Amino acid sequence: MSFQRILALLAKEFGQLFKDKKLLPLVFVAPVMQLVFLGYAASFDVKNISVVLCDQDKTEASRSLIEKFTNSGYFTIEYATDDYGSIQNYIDDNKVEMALVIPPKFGDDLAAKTPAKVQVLFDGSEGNTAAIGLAYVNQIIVQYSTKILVQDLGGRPLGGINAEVRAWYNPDLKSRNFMVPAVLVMILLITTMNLTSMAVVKEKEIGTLEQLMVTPIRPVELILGKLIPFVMIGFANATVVLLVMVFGFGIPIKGSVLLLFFLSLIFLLTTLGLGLFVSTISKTQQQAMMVGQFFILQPMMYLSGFAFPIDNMPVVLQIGSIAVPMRHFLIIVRSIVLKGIGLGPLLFPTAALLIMGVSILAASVVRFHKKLD
Amino acid sequence: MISIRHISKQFPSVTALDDVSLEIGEKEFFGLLGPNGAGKTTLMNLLVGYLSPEKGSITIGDQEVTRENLDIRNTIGFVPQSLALYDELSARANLEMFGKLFNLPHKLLSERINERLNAVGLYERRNDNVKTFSGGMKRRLNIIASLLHDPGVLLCDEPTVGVDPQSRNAIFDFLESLNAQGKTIIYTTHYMEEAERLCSRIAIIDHGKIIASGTSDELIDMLPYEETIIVAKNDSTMEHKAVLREFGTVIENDDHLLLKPGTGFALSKFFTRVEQEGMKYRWFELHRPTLEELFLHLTGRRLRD
Ligand SMILES: Nc1ncnc2c1ncn2[C@@H]1O[C@H](COP(=O)(O)OP(=O)(O)OP(=O)(O)O)[C@@H](O)[C@H]1O
Ligand SMILES: [Mg+2]
Repeated sequence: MSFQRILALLAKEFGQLFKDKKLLPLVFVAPVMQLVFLGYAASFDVKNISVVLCDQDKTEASRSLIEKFTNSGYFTIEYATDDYGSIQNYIDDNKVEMALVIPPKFGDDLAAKTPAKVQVLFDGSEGNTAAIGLAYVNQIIVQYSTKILVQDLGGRPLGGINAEVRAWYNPDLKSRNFMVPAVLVMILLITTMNLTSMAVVKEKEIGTLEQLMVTPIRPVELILGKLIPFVMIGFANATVVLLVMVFGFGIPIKGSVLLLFFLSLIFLLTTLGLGLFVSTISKTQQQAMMVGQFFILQPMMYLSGFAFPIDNMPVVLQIGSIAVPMRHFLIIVRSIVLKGIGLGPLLFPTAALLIMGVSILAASVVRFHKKLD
Repeated sequence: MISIRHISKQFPSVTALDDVSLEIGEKEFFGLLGPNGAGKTTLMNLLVGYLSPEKGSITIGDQEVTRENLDIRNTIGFVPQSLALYDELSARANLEMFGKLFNLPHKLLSERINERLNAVGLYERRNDNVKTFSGGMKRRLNIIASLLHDPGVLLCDEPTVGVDPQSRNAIFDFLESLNAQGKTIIYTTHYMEEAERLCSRIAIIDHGKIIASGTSDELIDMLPYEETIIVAKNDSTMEHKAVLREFGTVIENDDHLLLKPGTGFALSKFFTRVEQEGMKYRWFELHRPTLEELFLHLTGRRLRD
């Protein structure tokens, strides 16, 4: 293997990259924009759900529950009514997103230690808001019931049991904390895969790949010369995203940054391999973009747990998602960034990623080599 | 020096080369003349080991050319039919990249780059992006890009396509000087004028087969006649077409008639007859047959449509 040859290719690749006035901003500005879009705009947080209140109980117990709702910050009581029948209108006229109904016997039931009921009505057409709102409602009710339970035991907290329900690692239930690390994964995938496939296909298009192949260059040198630049760009990308994440969004990296970068490298085996693979089935850069977008990127986004929680998927897809490398890297990134977890508990996703990365890259290299014929 | 022995190359839909054998001597300027799709590029790709043949073998010097034999590429320069340059990079950067792939020491490479740039008149433009070059300049750059390792064998695949006449002449001169310095050159083209001007020996290739080879004169001698006669087109000559036909085949072109002498043709008899019929000598012009005519004679088709 000749390092001079690999270096020559690197110099060429970076020379091209830095001369390309459109590509460079794309590589470094696009990730930040994505981060901002996904981090802020597409945040799944729901705040200030407007509520019509129908308190038919009007006891201390009911008032205390209502207080819980208003203090949570997620709900704003816009209207109050005693007429249960009119609630429908509030929702139908889009005046409110939710109705909270406390039936007459609420206080008595609590006092009698029989299950007390509250009724929560959502505007189901806003599915997302409803689902998230419902989660908040549950959280509040559980907290409230726990408090009552604790009071029943004579005001003494239960020793050692923290009955307070909160979302671990993301205490404010902020979907942003969940999304931003995921954006890192997606950006790594997009830039390294697309840049690799397009750079290779471009050389096919302009005929230089053939010209390279009639020099004494070894296939392995050619492939390294083609992949190393994009590993470096991928890392630069990741660094930018992490900086924005930590300093822009105030999401600290709880775990080891070094481990994060090291495992990113393993993830890059997959993305570069996929890029190389795409280049072997595409004749033009446009084709490469399309193939990458529709046959790799989108399925990965849907199946990896990036867009939809894996638990909500049909079982077949849940099992299928094990074969999606991005799924494992998502787990790794979220675990390291949000939970500060070390390599130990991440052995399974790491091993899965490594096996998939090595096989995808190896298969692509073989295919690439064959295709040069 | 270069031996091509019984080479066949099959693509899924066509047989690009069919049992091709050629011997090319050291320092020869060898032409490969053939129409589109004849198999010229395929043969060049086989010569450099970019493709491998189904049958047959190729040796250069004492080494066999294979896809795995990377070493032999240090002795071959390959100028591809379509330009292979990085447009965004300067001429110099392009040359440096290709030169380094041959593991040339930095200083030597630097010297060679300057020298070759000078030789093709591109030194002044060395730091400009290739994007800003004309077609002819790109061609010249592409040629020297394949010469940085100073190969003994140069394969040129139609290096004058899309080139203005001035650049074309500069390329011819440059290649001739390389040949004079002792480089073996294989040159493909479908312009018979180029082959005749440059090449000491020529092989005519069609549909993947070598249909004739030899020096330009040897090839012309394969025609059953030694000269053609171009006849001015006027009322008198058109009237006497039947007389002309007695001496061979008459082909009517837009602005002239072409007489291809038949067997037993003798100039003296011809002109005596012309005189008798009252036609004037100046309407007739003796013409050495071209390779184009040989191709037509051998295949019934023209080199270019
Ligand atoms: N990679 C390939 N796959 C399939 N067929 C091919 C391939 N390369 C060449 N061919 C076919 O092989 C035949 C010879 O092609 P080749 O390029 O060698 O011709 P050529 O003499 O160089 O023509 P031109 O003067 O147009 O460059 C053609 O019929 C061509 O279509
Ligand atoms: Mg060709």
